[in-house]
Amino acid sequence: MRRLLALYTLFMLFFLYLPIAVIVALSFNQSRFGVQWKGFTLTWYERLFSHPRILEYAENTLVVALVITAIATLLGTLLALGLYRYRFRGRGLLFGLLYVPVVVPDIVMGVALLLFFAWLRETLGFFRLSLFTIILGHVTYQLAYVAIVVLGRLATIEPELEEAAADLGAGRLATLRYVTLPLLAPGILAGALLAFTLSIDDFVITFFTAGPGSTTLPLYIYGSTKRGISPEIHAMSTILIAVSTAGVLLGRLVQKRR
Amino acid sequence: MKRILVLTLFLAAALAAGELRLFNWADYIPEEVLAEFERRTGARVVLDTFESPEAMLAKLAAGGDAEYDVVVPPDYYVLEMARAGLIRELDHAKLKNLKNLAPEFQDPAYDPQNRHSIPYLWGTTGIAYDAEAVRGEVDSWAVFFDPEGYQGPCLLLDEMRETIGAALKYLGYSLNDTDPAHLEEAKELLIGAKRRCLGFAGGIEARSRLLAGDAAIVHAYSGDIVQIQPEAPAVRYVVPKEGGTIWTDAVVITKRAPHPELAYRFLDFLLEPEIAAQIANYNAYATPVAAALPYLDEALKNNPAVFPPPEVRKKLEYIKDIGDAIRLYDRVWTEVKAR
Repeated sequence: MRRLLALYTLFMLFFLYLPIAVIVALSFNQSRFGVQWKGFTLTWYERLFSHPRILEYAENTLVVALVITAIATLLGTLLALGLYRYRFRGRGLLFGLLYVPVVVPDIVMGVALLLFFAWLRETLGFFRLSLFTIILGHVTYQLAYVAIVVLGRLATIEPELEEAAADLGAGRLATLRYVTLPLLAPGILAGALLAFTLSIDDFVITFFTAGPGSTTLPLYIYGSTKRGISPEIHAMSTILIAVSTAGVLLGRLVQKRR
Repeated sequence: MKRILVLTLFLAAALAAGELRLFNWADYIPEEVLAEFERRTGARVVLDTFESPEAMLAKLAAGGDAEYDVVVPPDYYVLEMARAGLIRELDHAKLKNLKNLAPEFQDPAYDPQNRHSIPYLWGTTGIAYDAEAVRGEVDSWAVFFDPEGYQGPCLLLDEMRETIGAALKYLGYSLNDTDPAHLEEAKELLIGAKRRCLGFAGGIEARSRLLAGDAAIVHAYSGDIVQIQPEAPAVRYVVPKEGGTIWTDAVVITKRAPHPELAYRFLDFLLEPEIAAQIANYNAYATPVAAALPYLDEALKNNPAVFPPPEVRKKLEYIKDIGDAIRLYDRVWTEVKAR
């Protein structure tokens, strides 16, 4: 049984990491067309950094992901706090609506957004598809993810803590600032990370909401599949893998320190 | 964070004046060419990419025609786009380099007199094979469609018109045949070929499998194969004796282009001999710009796979818009795929 488990684990790791290893290897391959190993080279990295267009796509991707993370985290946290703390009419409905963007397939969401933006454009006359519409589209559904994660964390905070703060004379804002938020911080961070990872590699919703000049890396990579993915893209992917691996390792390190 | 957002919007607006918005296949125009255009005009080129002509058309129809200046559609879409009012009739007075085109591209069938488009690159669809892995000579579609002609593991293209077209060609019909009886014959051939071969694949996937030795014969686009020949000398490309497809990618200017003057400069720039040659060398496809020939790489210039000799040229056919008959093709294709 143990043997079987070990074998299964090995297979899992193999299937998960081999494709990534192949991408990394191809980024150093002299051959432009993959498949055969023709020797080690750094040419593709050089070409990547002298290729303003691909760098621009990377920049678009990062700007979009960072802006979305910031807005979705802020709005999502506020939404979670509001839903958890206060009783108001339509609260149940709002709770239900929270799950809609999570369970609705991306493609339906994407088409709906595209139609909505097209309609706005027709009626208002100036609503162009751009990075801005990508951001609007993503925030719409990612604030739900953030809110759900933060709600989960809120449920673990004992109400006595806040009551104690109030007892000791802290106003609502002071309680929020010195008691609730520090306790919530891991939840907010988790929500933000979730929003960031979801948006940095999102394809479907970006595909429908992108306009001229707002190509992101996932869009470009998808576009390349038909004509063969260039090694510059492999180089870019390798850098992304390296950065995210470093990010995860750093996160672990910080956690250990605590 | 908000500042970034505001900044992004502001930058987008500020740059809108001096930019050319190009909508093209990914990795289809060398970075050096775009950089040269930027250097000469001082304008910025914004390049967005599409992965299928259908997606490109959908984006344009959804209002993209007012966003992009220049688009690179396949030949058979040019007239359709013109009919739909998405692209403008070209003012030839603004394209002084039109004269650089080879005579046969001055008046192409897909866009008479280049009224709406200029040609970008052209190529053919035929058969690629590994000379070391096949049993005999490869010069006919029989390698796919005749059990007797089988020469080794084969792969067909996963493109409806190309693949049904190949079967029609083997039968001696036109690529654009719409006779249901002929299509029925083609269907039977394709079902047989599917059983003997490894199945269907996209152009790049088929090429990779040929390189990896998984397939010995694949249905392929000329440029995809010529591109890799320096790395894989055993790989050959041939237009079958029954004939194959010729295609041209065209360059058009949208009707509501935000920067039409820059767009005209760009089209004229693409027709310059050295620029056209650079584009052809990068993609390993043939250039319609006759004046570019002296600047082509040796590997391209005298390569019959790139510039087929006249007797082969005669056997090549364009895929045409066949109107409602496309439903017959759809049905045949679905039945082939389902079997």
